[in-house]
Amino acid sequence: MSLRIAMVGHVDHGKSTLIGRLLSDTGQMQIERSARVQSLCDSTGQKFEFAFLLDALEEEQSQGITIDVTEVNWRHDGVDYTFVDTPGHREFLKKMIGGASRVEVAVLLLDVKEGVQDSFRRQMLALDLLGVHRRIILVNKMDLVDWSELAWLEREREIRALLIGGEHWVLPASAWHGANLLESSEHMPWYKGPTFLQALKSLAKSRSVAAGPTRFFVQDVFRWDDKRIYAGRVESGEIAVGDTLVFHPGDAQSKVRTIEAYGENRTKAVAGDAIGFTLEDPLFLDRGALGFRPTEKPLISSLIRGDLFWLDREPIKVGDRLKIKMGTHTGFARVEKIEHEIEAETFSKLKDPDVLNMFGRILFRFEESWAFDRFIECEPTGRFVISKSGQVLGGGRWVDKGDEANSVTFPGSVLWFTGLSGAGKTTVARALEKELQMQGGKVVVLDGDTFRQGLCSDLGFSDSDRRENVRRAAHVAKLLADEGFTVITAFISPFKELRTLAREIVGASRFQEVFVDCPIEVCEARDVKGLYAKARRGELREFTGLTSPFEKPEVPDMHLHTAKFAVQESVRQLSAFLGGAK
Amino acid sequence: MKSETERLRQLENEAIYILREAYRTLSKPAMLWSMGKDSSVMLALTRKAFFGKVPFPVVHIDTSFKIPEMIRFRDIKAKEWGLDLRISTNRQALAAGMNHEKGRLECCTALKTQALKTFLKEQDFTTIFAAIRLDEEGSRGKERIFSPRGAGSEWNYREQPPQFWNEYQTDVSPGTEMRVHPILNWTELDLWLYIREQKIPVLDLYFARNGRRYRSVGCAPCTGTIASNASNLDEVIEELRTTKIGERTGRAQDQADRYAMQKLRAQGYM
Repeated sequence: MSLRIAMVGHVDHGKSTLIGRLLSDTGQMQIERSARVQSLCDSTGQKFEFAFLLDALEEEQSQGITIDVTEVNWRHDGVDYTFVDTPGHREFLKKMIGGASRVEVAVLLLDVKEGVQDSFRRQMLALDLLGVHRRIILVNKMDLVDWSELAWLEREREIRALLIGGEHWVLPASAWHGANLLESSEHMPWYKGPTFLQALKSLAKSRSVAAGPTRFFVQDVFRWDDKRIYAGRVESGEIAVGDTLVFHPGDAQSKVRTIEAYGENRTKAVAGDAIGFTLEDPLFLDRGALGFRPTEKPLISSLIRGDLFWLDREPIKVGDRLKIKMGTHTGFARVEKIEHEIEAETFSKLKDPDVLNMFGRILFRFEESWAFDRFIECEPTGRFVISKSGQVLGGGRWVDKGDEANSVTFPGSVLWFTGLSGAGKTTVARALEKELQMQGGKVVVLDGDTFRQGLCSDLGFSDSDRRENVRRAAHVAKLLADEGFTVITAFISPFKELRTLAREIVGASRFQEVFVDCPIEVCEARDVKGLYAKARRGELREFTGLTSPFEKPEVPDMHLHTAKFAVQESVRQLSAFLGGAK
Repeated sequence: MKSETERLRQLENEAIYILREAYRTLSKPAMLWSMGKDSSVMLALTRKAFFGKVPFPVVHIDTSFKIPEMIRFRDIKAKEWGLDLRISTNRQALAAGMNHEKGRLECCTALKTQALKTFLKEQDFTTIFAAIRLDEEGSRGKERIFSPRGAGSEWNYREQPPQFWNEYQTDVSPGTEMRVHPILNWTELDLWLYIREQKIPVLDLYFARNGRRYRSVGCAPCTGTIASNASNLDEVIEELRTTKIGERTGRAQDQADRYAMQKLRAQGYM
């Protein structure tokens, strides 16, 4: 299936132009569409407007704007992409969120002349809530600042200050000239990073592998040909003949007798399959019932906490009765409490507000008990849409049961990451930090590079200096864990002896060793900081993996394979691990 | 190719889910069938979704100008699949002498849009399955899978409801017409790959004879052929992998006005 990419950005920052340029430069533009645009542009005396290829409505062409979401397919080098072009004006945020909710990657465009504005911050926040963590931020229209490196560095600094977690690429380009899209540009010899295409390909590669608990919503029950067929879609996991399934509400359970797919003989169905099945016992199940395995129970509660976006002009108030939909299951809930609102301009949290305008966290009281998962553990049963008077006005992700303590509390603990340079320690640590913060936890990341620049700037890379570096880091981690923080450390810590030392300092009961495992060839190919290249040139001595050994942990508490799985999959595993460990 | 098969599975699953969702949550459904490749694939998907049955009427808007092979195909297959086939024709307009020479947009409006609207009203259908696709032409790129229409089937493309993730919003006030588009995300190539994989019967008109074939079929006076030597499924698929010619090149009504399809569709055209 094609990689779905949301094109997000302020009006006139060049989204449609970018797509038009890609189609045109790879010869995928239909002849009569471009001829039609050419004649339109000739008739009004303007230069060829790529955007008209997508903005096909009359009003869009006469006013030069995108009114509604457009989808465009693009194929390159054997990979299928679908660009979802979303409108950029403030009043169209609803459509932008609608378009971006069904994508895996987002491309944000920023006009180099205008820089980071409120709308950009809002878009980033909305993408966080939607769970779109892989992004390319394109600083566009470099031609209009004479391809100035200074202008680029200024914007890059502004943008990087906003980034936490996820996988991001920030790069300069000119969509209109096609500069740095498919090939690097002669106008920007100072830029050494990836092109748009290279960035896109790297994100396409790290697509997450489906994993998760078995979840199935009953969509309809057909009683045809003397059979009772429960039809629906496997939302997550898989269902096979002989499996026992439990259904909420009611807790009825039975074994799967057959998998029903017209014209096919099947014994198994996997996530995404729209199938039917029959059960050993003819259970009476309604549309909306959630099926799961007895060993993989979802959370069940009538008081649930969720992070949401709200798009109506009228804000949500405490006491509002809202219709909530998740898959085929619908129900009503009242707003018990607005725990906080996130202010879109500054990202600051406002505690206990009376109303919620756009982004925030709400405690819902359902009229009946509701089965769900935390978004991070199972997306299809971890998200919901809200409607009022028959109109969809918002959506969000489940955080936790509300009858437990306010926000997930992890007792102070230390996740000690170990792995080669470039294995993804800091990336995963930052993404996990963000996820735990969204769940309401107190989290801090101790990063090896930061330590080396500050607290440990007097140390080198000899065995004794490495030991001292780890000793200091472990003591800092211990102090923070004592204060109730979840501490994530990102140090190479290559020797067993060093990790044993850290475990002793922190205390074994709250120390978890996490092996961030990635083959050295992959780390060297990534070489984000250019360190492997330096080491190969002999400029760095005692470089772990090349000229200094890395002793792999034999039995780590957690083993992440970052070459195989996307960052978010690692975060999901860790979050589930923490949830189970607490 | 593995990725193509995977893509077909995903599109098939999506379409089946949509068909069932609409059937269960909306009232008075009917499916438009023009005997073209798109709606024939939709019909095949319907039989999959409902385990071999087509649990609602199938409607053909007959302008009386259709290519004769299409009508023969319709009658044979309707019988074979046990369809509840309903045919609607705007006899009044035909009696008054309507044809494409009176203006292509006028003709489409009278014999297709009007015929459809009158039929829906008379037979009281409010849920209409239509096999349109995003990549067919510009204005269809703006469509939704579930698209509520105004009184008189108008499409208000400026104020469409948002769709988050794959949660389909099917809440509408009673009597609201809903257009449902199960194969909206399919491309022309996807259709042909699926037709080959599932051995779905299609009109012979799509295969080249004497160097020409139909890529899109409609009314005889307004539908042209394209130059092609693709005389079987494999060759059609190969042709589509490389062509840069638009699918509706042979459809005269699209060329009648720069925004012809947007205008037709805003009034309720499929």
